[in-house]
Amino acid sequence: MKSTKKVLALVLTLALVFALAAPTAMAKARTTKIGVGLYQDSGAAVTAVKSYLGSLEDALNVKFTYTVLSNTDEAQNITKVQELIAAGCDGIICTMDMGTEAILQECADAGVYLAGYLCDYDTSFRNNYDNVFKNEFFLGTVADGGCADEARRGYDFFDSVIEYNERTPDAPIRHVAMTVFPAFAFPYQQSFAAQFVEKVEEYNAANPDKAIEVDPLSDETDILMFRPMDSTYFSKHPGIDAIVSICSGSFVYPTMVSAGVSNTMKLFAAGYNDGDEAVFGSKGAYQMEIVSPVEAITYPLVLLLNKINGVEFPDQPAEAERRGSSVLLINSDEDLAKFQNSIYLSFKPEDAFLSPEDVVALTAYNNPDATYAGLVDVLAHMTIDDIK
Amino acid sequence: MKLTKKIFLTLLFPVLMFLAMWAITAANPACYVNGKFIFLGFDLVRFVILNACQSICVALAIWMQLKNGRFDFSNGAAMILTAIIAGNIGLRTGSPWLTLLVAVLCGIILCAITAAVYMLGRLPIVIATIGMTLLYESLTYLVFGGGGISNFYQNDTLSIFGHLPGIFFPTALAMGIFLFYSNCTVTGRKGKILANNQAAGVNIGIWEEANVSQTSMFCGAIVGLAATIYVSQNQVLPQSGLSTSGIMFSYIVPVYMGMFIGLASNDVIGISIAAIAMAIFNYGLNCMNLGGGGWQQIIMGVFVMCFYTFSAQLDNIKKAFRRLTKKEAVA
Amino acid sequence: MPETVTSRRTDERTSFFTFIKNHTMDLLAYAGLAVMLILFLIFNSGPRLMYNFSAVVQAAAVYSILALGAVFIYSMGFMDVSLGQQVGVYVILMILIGNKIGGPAGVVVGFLVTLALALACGAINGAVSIFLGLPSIVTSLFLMFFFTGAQYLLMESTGENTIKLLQTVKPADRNTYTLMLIGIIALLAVIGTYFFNYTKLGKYTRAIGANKVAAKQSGISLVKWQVLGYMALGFCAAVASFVLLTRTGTAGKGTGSGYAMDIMICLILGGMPLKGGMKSKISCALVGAFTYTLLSNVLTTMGVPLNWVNFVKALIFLVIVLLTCRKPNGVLPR
Repeated sequence: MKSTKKVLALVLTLALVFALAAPTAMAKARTTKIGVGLYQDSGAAVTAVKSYLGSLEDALNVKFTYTVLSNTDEAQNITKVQELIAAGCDGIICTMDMGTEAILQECADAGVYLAGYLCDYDTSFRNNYDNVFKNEFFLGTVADGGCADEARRGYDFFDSVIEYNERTPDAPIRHVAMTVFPAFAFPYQQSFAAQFVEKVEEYNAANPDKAIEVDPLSDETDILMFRPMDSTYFSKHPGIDAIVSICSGSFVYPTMVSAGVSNTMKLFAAGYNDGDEAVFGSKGAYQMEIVSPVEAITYPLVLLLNKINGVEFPDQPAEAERRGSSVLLINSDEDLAKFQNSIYLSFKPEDAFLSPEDVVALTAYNNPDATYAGLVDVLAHMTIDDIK
Repeated sequence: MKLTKKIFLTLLFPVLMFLAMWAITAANPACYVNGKFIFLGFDLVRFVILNACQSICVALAIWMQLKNGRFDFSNGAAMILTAIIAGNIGLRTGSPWLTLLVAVLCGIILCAITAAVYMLGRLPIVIATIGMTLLYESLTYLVFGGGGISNFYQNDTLSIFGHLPGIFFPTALAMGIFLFYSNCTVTGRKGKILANNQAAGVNIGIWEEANVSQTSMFCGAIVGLAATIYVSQNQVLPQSGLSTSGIMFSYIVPVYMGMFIGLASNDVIGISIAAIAMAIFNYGLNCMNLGGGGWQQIIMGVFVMCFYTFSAQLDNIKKAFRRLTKKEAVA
Repeated sequence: MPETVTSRRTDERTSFFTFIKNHTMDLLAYAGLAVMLILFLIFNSGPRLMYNFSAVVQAAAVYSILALGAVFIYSMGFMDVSLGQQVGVYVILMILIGNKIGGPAGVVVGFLVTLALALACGAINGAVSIFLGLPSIVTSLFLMFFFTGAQYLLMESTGENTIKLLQTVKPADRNTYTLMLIGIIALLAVIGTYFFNYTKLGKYTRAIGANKVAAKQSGISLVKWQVLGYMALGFCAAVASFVLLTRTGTAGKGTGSGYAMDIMICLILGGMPLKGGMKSKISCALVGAFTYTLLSNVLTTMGVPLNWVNFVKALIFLVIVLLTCRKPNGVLPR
């Protein structure tokens, strides 16, 4: 009997303690939940994004939940977004333009906002503008390197080739071929190829003694159907010194290695893969790589947080926009050395372009002086030269 | 059957394939660059060897289990997980031989675990191996930070077993292991009985648990060798959603073809020959710019269907042929 | 001797335990679904419960419909690895035909054309393997390659990454849409149950799975019933494709990818014997589809880290199959 009374007393005490604690807990500001639908579920980029966002959680009172989207299956993307909404997310950052209209319908039903990252939402922009960009639940997107027809990626490749030739006058590149992804998936890569050819022709006209030959982009040979390039590419492009891979280098480099040309041929590629630093610049085939700054996710994040907190920038555009961020162009060993100090490779939040305090200052609900123009301006200062 | 006839029948398929692709590519303008015919060249030899060696190793692993009446879904996932583990260890130690050893050990352990789950769980083999496939795929996200292995193939020293001439070593080892298993072990010699009639096999004294465990060990060793070649040629990323079963289905083609071709010799030679022929076929398609995309899939499907139909109906074809020749003789 | 209360109670207890013993696997499959439902309710309390319920119904609808058709195939001991690619091509064709003709009529025509194609593919799948003496997996592989290629070529011809159906087919009201899906699943479940349990189709497909030789010798036409079984799957594939289209409104080169393996997992989780035979049950389809969908949903709402989701799913799958599919006696199960 005595022990029973003791147990009852303990239970009552605990109940009182919880009762006292509950109001305290409820009085604390509710944490905002943001879902992030990534384009891949592993790799340095994913680790860097999570590290960066993780560093912002305390300062912004935000909790991030991650999932991975598909770039081929719309139903899966809708399911993933529904799961994020069901998990209590107030806003969602998406990296894919697949099933966007149906996804926005889900968001509207739940009162959740959507913004884009690393995606120019080109299909929706061209074919479904009213239902996506004019939708009140879609806040805008940021793409790496400029959106669609504004992008000048082809010129970047040209500049890199010339920079290489100036650096190595004894063994310049005089003959290149290109690779791209199919137009139905990446419609602007072929225009990037055309930009590259245009600049080469201008250069050749001005410098006939240093002319560079570019194999015309062949619909049959040079379009990679999302599988590694096959070795017949080298037979079909005999005598080339370098490949300009406007699609990812990871589809080209393994074939170069198998074919035994990785020690003699150079590669200028978009994208960056774990371990590429071991074969970059003076150490190997890679001479140019393009990396999307993970800190560009700040753009959709700030827009979402503002909206969730019921505040807008004084200069907020009436419709959702797609903006381009700068990219990290790695063109030399010196650039690579700088790049190794970025959060992308170090995974340290202190190496990011923006600190948590910087991001707080960009939000309208924390900083009444914050502007949309200021947020956009930040995106332009995420280059290799901006690394601390 | 006389030896010369056996050799003739064995080499017939790849020779016919080579001649057919030669003729087709020679007639295709896409196969000429600056007037030079690109089908014939060292690139063909290198492509065929590198791809066929990988196919041979995986196909032998599939066939080893299939021969005993078991379809193992988990070989693909075991190969990927082994490639990631062995590749990361190899990268840290800088030794390709250690990579090979770790891969073989890892393959054996993973296949042994699958066998244990099958035997102790007493689950149907397909269900057990699907479960293990899901498990091994999930582990690819957990080992070594979930990043897979991206830069092993880039290292010339480490990746010797994925390129010429080092690739011959793991391939020959895989073939040797298979031959040893098939001809020098009781399990290997009696395995076919289990495939044809499991109950009868058990009743005449075949100890099925021993068969399963020993077969899995040998299979695991071959999977490890396949993983060594795979990581030496490719970037290996974590997988999920039974996507590694796609690896199985793509390498099963030489298995079924090899069963038929191997009637004239033995299954190891049959599978090797089939792998070589399919590599020649794929190279020809690549030269004609049909190597990727929709047409390659359709052509592959039609070819596979025709081959299997031919092999399944061979007796009927022979009968029809004999009837035709008899009629002509009478006429 | 008059029946005593004690002996009656003993009889009742005995029959109860006999029932449990004879239906252990089915009960465990249902238990798996019950556990998932309980977890779903625990982690979805609050205002988003109804939203998530409708999300689960949407995600499970396509799997349920495909699984209902797949039961006929799996009961014969076969499997179809081309299912996902077929669904992808059917959705693309519905969009292309629907947009070409325009309006609701376009959608109807698109569905009918797709249905005819699906039934034809089912017939080919079922008949060709018997006529040509091939294992069923071979014709299935052929169709998988063929439809993968067709999907690529169709999308390439459009010049777009995704294509959208211009006509709206999804009800604007979320609750109406959910009810519509539940109605379609229920209707197909009733039809499927009738055909599987009360007609020759179900009886003979199970007999073929149990023992093909005995079935043939007892007068069952293997060709006819195999073809009809595959056509039943084809019918369900066409309906599932339409349901998928109502959900997404779009299609791309990867639409439907992985569905064949997902359906296999759904049926396994539902307690379906992969060898087929007389123990095959139509209920496996719905039980498995909802268990699988709820599992994915619950893991996300629980906040399981991304890297661990697949591991947890694999463990749960293994636990469930160890409980439901274990065969303790006799030779090692095949």
